[in-house]
Amino acid sequence: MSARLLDRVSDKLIDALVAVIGRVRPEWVKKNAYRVKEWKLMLYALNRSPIGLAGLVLAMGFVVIGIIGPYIAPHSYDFSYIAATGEYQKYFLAPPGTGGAILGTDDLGRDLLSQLLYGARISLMSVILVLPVGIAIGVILGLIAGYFGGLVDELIMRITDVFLAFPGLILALALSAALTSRIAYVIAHNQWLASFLCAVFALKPSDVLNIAPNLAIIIALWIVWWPGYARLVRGMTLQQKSNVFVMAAESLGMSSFQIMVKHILPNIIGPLLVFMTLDVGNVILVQAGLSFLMGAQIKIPDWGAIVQHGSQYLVNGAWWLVIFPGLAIMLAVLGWNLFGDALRDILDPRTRRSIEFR
Amino acid sequence: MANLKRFLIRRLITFVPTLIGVTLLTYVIAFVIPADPARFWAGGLKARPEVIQMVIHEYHLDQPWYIQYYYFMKGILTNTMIDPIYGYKVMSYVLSRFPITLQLALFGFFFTVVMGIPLGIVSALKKDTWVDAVVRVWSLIGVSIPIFWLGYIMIYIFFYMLGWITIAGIPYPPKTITGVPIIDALLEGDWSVVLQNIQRFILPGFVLGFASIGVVARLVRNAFLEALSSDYILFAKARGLTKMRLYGHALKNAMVPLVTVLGLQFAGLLAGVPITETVFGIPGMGLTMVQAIFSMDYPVLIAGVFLIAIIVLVTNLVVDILYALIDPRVRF
Repeated sequence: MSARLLDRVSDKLIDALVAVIGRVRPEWVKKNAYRVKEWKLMLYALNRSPIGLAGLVLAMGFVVIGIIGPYIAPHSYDFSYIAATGEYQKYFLAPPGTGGAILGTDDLGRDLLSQLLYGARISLMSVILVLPVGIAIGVILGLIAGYFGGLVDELIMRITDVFLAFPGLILALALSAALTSRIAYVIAHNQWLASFLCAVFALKPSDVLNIAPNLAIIIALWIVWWPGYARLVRGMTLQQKSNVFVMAAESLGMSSFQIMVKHILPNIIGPLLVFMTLDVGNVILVQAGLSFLMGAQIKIPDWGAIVQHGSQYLVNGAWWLVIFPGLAIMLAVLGWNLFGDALRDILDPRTRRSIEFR
Repeated sequence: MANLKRFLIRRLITFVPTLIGVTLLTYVIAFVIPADPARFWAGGLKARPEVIQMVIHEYHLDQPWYIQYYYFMKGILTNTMIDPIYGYKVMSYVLSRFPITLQLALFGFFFTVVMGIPLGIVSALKKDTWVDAVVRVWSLIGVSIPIFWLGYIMIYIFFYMLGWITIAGIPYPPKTITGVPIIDALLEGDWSVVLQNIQRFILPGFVLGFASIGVVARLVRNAFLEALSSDYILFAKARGLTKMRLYGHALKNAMVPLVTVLGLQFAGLLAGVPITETVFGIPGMGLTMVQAIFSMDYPVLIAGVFLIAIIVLVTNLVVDILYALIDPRVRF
């Protein structure tokens, strides 16, 4: 019964989206009526997969908290109960529920809940800054390698192999360790960049230099992230290349660039989308792992760094400093993985029908 | 088989350039980006100029980068290079860390195989029941859980609260045969050391293998189900074979993709090694490399990356060969 209700909601959503597109380009709606129908069917399938819906809720929760987290946080990320009240005994590693601190405090008396809410922004921004760049490099190289073949292919794929044979975490760690001081230098000498970073990471201007390790991690992840996509896209391009429509386009004299963008890319975008969804979780996870290993600046409320910092106080029995940030990471990643898993079933025509008629 | 031979030769030819590429990449990160390793190695800001000169001369830092790289690799491969910070031979040091990582990976792999495969089979036999659901959720949680978090939870429960495990030191048997502590202890029949090793490595191994268990279970389930629904099983059923023999047939065919995945999982386990070793304080290659990065101990870093890359490449190669041997349809 509830699925029916969701169907109606999703129909409305799609209709609203189509109406918006119709305002801008009326002819598009007429031409793509079949596509709109397809979208609706996909959402019906999603409505009938409870795991996928749970994933969607978690994933959207991560995004929404990442955006509004800093605004709904009870305190600023650097607010300290100890500094504010002077009660050191009470607020040093205060367990959850102590006088206003819902999730407890750390050794500096900072509110863990606020730290986690601000941390969501850093995690979200890492995903937003890492994935598009990594994917763009991978897709471009993969398309070129797969389409042209021969020596170009060999060269690109051997370089990709080098990156894939490399222990990824170590490569990223070495890069971020090496880049940190450089980035701090760049931020310090670039007022515009500094204020931009403050805005997107929801930080106070005085803390902007401390974000350098996190930025270094993001840049390191660009370097580590593309090879997987390059290999994937190359494989898919090879498959598409053997299609007749590519040959037809070639015989019509279309340029290689046009064929790649207009005929091959649209056909591989579906599987790529699923892979991207599953990859969002990976970025969150690897980013947290790196900031855990790097032990990012103590002033920055990064989830991985909070675990690393809090783990020193496990001996004191301060389990909340490890459990809650880890739980936040896990739920965010799990959400994207569940959603991606469901999306794969939905986008695959073989499995979709069986979900729709359930 | 002639094709296999040609394939092997081609793979071996690409082997060496990949290794060179990997070390070159490390070298670039290590030396092009940060400034002045010589000063750091000579003792930091207050280093005496003549000591800095000595370091520069010793490590050929005044030469062009490709010559530096050549001396670096030569020094590491012939084991003549002395570590600029700690003064031990770089390759011997890294190699001495390797058995510990191998032991950790073996523990992780043990859990992957011993828990992953049975879970997958049970989950396929009990398709669409709660067992199946548990395995599915496990496989998804397994790839979603931060490995360091799981590690700390385990330490908190089994070390602080229950005190069942140890988290310091590596227990070695008196004599060294293979270098891997637990194998040596087993060979010498030193049961107390075996037990100590199990106490030390069982949790890190489980944490390291946690994600792989779910992945392998899921794969075995799908492969087994697919095999069960194929025509030869129908035929066997029609001939009246017992259930056990039916499963035997299906299982044999389901194992083909498993070889690849197990190989890939083993290489994947190595990726989780740095974090696991950091959390549990195991002095293996991962922790060594992490520390080398932070102490600018680049020779150790390059040697470690070199070794890991060799392991990954050899694993991939072995997987490909095994695949060809098991599945007669695969031709190169």
